[in-house]
Amino acid sequence: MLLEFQRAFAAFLMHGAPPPAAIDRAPGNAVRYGVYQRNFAGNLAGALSGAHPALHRALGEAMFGELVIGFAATNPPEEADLHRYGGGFALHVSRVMPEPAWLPDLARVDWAASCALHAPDAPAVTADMLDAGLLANAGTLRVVLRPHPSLRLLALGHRVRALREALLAGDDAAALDASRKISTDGENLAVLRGTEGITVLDLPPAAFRLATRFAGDIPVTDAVAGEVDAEALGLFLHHGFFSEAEVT
Amino acid sequence: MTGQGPIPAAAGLGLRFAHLGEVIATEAAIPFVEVHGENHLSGPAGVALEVIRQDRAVSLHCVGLSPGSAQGIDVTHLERLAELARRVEPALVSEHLAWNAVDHAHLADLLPLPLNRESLDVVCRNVERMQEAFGRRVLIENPSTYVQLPQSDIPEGPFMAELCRRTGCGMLCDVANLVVSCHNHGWDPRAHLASFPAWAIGEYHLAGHERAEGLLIDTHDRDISAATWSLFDEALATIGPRPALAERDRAIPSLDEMLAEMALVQAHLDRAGQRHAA
Repeated sequence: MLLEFQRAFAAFLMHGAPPPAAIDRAPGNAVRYGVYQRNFAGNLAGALSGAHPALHRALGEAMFGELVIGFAATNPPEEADLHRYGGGFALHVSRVMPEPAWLPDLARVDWAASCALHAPDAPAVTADMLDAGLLANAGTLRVVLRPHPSLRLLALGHRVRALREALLAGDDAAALDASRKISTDGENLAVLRGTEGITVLDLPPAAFRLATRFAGDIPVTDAVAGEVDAEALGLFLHHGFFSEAEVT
Repeated sequence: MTGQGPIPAAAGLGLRFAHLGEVIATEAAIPFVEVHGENHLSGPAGVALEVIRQDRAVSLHCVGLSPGSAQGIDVTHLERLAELARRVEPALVSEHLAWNAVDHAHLADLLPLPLNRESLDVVCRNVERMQEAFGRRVLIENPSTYVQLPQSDIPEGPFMAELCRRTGCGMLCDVANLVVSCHNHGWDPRAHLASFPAWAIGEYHLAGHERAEGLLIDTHDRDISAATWSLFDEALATIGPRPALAERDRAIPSLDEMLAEMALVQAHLDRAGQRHAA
């Protein structure tokens, strides 16, 4: 009986139907049950807006709330840690809001930043920890650099980074200007958490390809295929792309 | 795991993400801090809590374990919280008499539980599972409710008492939830308070609520009401002082304002202590 009640209550919350008989159809109780529906929608909207602050700002409260209700009906959280809720939200946005076409990419950067913020903690390997000689000799030594748990690499179809920065700064005029200038020539971003908070880096294509290979947890020698891009490696180390190094 | 030593019957601080850095830096006297366990499972918030617990007692208040779930506790989530508890060694661990998960959907709220024999067995089984994982006694909080379910045939106080007796768990008496539920269901707050198992109560909560459409809504976003303060004084007089906390989860004020609210709670505790001494 309890399981039947809980399943009925879940369906009531997720689909917005009147309380089914398995719960309660007492007259006058709609207002009371409505409290739970508002809490459900409000708590999920809070979780998703926390994870997608720029998208929330771009769409506004009402439109964002509609997106949340549609998403939650088919994608309720699967666990109690709501910081991990929202992985499919960008895809949902792409399905229900085909225009503007850059919206899903904006959601992807938001989600990557949220994942980075809540990723496990790990000390970053710094340039001081790997001396220049070691990097210079990476072709002969076996050096494995593992990606920092917070690192996310995104190959996007639209250049949304400037727009996102303007939205997060609350600068609506700059955001409007940036939205008009969004190009479709793509953007390769690295998103990670450092000592100063979340960093979003726009990487040149070659550096992005190299970073992508490192993200596969492979030796430096294999990743660079014998050609050490010291400048890119220095950039990665400076920003804390790696959490541990193994040298043999 | 035994955790930190017992928290004194003093007012604590509901610690929220916005104040983590300030609390690490402040030298203000804070007898204990209480956090939502789900907010500190990873990332900087998890690290910050490990720093804070070096100087301050910690109470781990959980919101997502769903002790009322007919399908049992999510063991993965329980293990994540238990791992956090092993690192932080909290002085208190608590959850709610509610449910929020079914068929792998987590419904992000503290949902009403029919109170009857079947649900009592379910909650006892789940609380025992929690206590095994945490290696300690947990406190279960009375929730704020907006509906009286027709499937319920055990009043909340006797349900709590039987839960505590069968599992050895304690009770977190949320005075604000009591005020909210009593208003919404036409119950007598003093009689309802008296029905709680005083011997099992290990902590008090207080918070502000909103009035809407004839109901009181537990919002944690404003000052504590006069009715809640009054019932808190009644609880202190009849049950006795325990660790106590004012909760804020929305419209979170500055740390200074939070500390001022903590001092108000402490003043009520102090007055109750003086009356007991007299």
